[in-house]
Amino acid sequence: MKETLKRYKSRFPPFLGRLGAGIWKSLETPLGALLEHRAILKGHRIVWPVAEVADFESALLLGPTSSDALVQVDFTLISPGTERAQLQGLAGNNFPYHPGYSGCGEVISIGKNITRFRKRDRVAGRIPHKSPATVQEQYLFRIPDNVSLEQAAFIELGIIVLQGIHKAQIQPGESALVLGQGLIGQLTNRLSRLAGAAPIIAVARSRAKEKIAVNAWGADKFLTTDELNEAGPSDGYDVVIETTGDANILPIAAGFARKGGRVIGLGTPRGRGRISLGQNGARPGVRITGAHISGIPQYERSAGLWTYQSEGHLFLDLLARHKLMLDDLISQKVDPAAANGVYESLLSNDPGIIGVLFDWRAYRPQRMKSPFKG
Amino acid sequence: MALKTIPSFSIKKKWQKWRILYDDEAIDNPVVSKKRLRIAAVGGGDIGIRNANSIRAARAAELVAVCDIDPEVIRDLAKRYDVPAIADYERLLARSDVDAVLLSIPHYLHTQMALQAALAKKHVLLEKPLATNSQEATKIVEACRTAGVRLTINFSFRYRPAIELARLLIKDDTLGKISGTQINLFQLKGAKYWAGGFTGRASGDWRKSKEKAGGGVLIITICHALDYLRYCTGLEVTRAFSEYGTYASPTEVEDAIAMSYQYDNGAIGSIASSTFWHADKRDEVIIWGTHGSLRIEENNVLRLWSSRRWRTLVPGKEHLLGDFPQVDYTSKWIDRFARAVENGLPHEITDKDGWINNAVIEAAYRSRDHGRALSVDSFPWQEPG
Repeated sequence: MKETLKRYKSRFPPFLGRLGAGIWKSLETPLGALLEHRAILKGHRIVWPVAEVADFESALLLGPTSSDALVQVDFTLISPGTERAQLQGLAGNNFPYHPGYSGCGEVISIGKNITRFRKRDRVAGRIPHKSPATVQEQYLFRIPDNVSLEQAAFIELGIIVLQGIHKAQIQPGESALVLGQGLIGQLTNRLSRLAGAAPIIAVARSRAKEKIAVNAWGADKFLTTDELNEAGPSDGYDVVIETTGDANILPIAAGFARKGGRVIGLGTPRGRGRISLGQNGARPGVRITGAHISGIPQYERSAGLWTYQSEGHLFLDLLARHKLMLDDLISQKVDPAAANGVYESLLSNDPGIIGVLFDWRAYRPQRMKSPFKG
Repeated sequence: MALKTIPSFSIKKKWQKWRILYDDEAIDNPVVSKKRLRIAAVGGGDIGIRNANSIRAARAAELVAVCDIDPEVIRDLAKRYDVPAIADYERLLARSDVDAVLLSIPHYLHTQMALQAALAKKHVLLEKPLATNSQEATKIVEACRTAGVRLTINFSFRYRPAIELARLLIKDDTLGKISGTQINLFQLKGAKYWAGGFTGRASGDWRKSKEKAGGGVLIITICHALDYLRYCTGLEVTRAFSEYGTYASPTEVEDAIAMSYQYDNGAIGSIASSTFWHADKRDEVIIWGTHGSLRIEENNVLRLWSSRRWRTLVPGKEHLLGDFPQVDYTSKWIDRFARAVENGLPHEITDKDGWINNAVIEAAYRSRDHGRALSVDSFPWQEPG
C-alpha cells in the first residue's frame, strides 16, 4: 500500500500529492481495520516526520492480526547508532518514520494463531517505540521471572551483539579489540568476556566511556584511538570487532588483526570504505566477516550460525543467571513525550547518551468502539 | 491552548486564541487610575495625525493639545480634535496641563525640540529615529536624564502581534541558538514621497537631505526592523558594514542599501533594500537558528519551522501563523508608557533602545567610507540593576 501511495505522490503536482497524502493518512487506519478485520486502538508513538526531527504523538493504531500479539509496552530502548543514522536520513529518506526495535511489555491480547504466548505474559522482543505494539510471534520472547523489564528491553541489541560474537568464534584466551564504545560496543565487551576473550581492549575516540567500559564484567583496558594508533598493531589481535558503523574504520580494523585473525563488522557501515590488503595493509590470512543481524537464520542453526530465537533465549538466559550486567548501561529513563529533546541530544553526539529507555507505563492503550472490530 | 492555523471568524475567539500574546497588566488589570497622562501631540503631518488618534485611543493617556507651525495644518487639527490647537511650541510647553509631548516632527528637529521639552520638565515621546546621528542622540538622552524626565521612542512595531509572537517563540527556544537574521525591504518611494511624504499633507522636503533626515531607507524605515529584531532575539549588533547609494530617486540620501552585521553571540545578518522598486512591495524579515526558522512577512504572517514542538504545533513542518487581531500598536506604545509613568514603574521602550538603534545605523553609514566593518559603540550610561 505504501508503494502505491509513493507512486501516486510522484504522479501528481505537490499540492495534490499533499492533499492525497492527507486524505490517505486519515483513512489508512479505518480502511485497514475494515479490510483486515482489525480493531482500532488509541495509542501513542514516536514519529520522525522529517530528517533530524522527532516528535511524540497520540495516534489511532491497528489492533493485532491473527498471527500477532498485542503488547502493552513498558520500556523501549533507543539503539543509538542505528537510530542516529536513520534519523539523519543516512539509511534512506523514509520519512515519516516510526522508529524503535527493542522493548518489552505485557501481552494484552493475542491473535488466534498464537500458541506460545498468553495474555499477561511478560515479553521482550522487536518492539517499536510505541504503545500498544503489535508484534509477530517469532520476534517475541517470554521474560524469565528474575529478569527486570529494564534489562529485558535490551533484547534486540543483545541479539545483534550475540550473533556477532558467535560469528567471531572466540576461543578462550584470545585477545579482542573492540572498536567503538557506544551501546553495541559496551555489550560487545561484556559478551566477549563471557565467550572467554582475554584481554579485551576497548577503543573509543575519547575517554568519556572508559569507566563504564573497563570493569570486572567488561573490558580489561581502554585506549583512545590516538593511543591505539601510537601504540601500533604490534602482533595484532586475534579478534577485532568493529561496532562504530563507520565504513572507514573497517580497513583500519583489518590492520589491527593478527596474522590469521578475524575482523567482525558488527556496526552497519554507512557509506564506502576502502580496504588495502597485503603490505602496509592487513596481515595474511585475516578473515573479515560481516555480522549484520539481517544475515541471521530464522529456522535452523549450526555451530557458527544461531537463529534469532536461539540468540534471544540465550540473552535472556544470561540475564536470568546474572552472568550479564546491564543496569550500569542505563543512562536515562525518560518519558516518551520528551523524545524531541532526547533525539536532539542523540544527534549532537552527547556522550551522556548510552542506554536510553523510554518509559511507556504512563501511556496505557485504550480500545475504541469500532464498527470494524475483528 | 490549542493554536490552529484555521481562521477564527469571531473577534472574541480571535482574541482568545491570541490571548497568549497579551497576558500583560493592560489585560489582567484593565482598570486604570483616574489620573491619565496628559499628552500634547506635536506635528500634524501624516504620522502626527495617526499618533494623535492613538493618544486618544490609549486608555491611560489623554490628548490635551495639538501643535504645528503650519497655519493650514493647525486649522485642520483644530477641526479634528476638540482640544486647544497651538502654533507656538514654547507656549505649549509652558502649559501646566501638559505632562508629556509626543513629537512627530522632521528628524532634524528632534534634538532641539526634545531638549526644550526636557527643560520644561515634560516627558518626551519621540518618533523614530531618536536623532539624525549618535552625537545628537547623546544630547537628547543626556538632557532627558539630567532633567529627570522620561524618554521613549516610537518603536511600536514591537507591539504588533506577529512580532510579539516571534519574540515568544524565540523565548521558548523553538529556534535553538539564533544564528542569523535577514531584512529584505523593497518598496517604491517616488518623487512625491521625497517632496513631502506619502500624502504630502505636511509639505517639506527634509527627507531628501542627509543632514536633515540623517539618511535614507536605513534610518527612515529599516530602523524599525533593526529594533524589533533586537527585541525578539535579545541580541546586540556589534559590528556592521554597508554599501549604499542614490540610484534612481530625487534625493541625496540612499535609496538602496546592502548591509551585513554581526551579533554579540556570533550570529550573522544582512539587509537588502531599495526604495525604487516598482514591483509589488516585498517586506520580509527572517530569523533562523540551530533548530528552526521564522519568516515575518509584511501582511503580519509568520511562517514557523522548528524541529521542536511548540504547544500544539508539531515539529518538522512549516506553520503559517496569521489571523491576528487588529491592534493599534502605536496606541499600545503610548498606553504602556503612560501606565509606567503613572505607576512609577520602568517603561519599556527606553532611551537606550533609541540610542543603540542610532549607533548601529551610524556604524553602518560610516563603514562605507572606511571600506571595512566598524564596531558599534556601546551605550555610554550605566543601566540600573
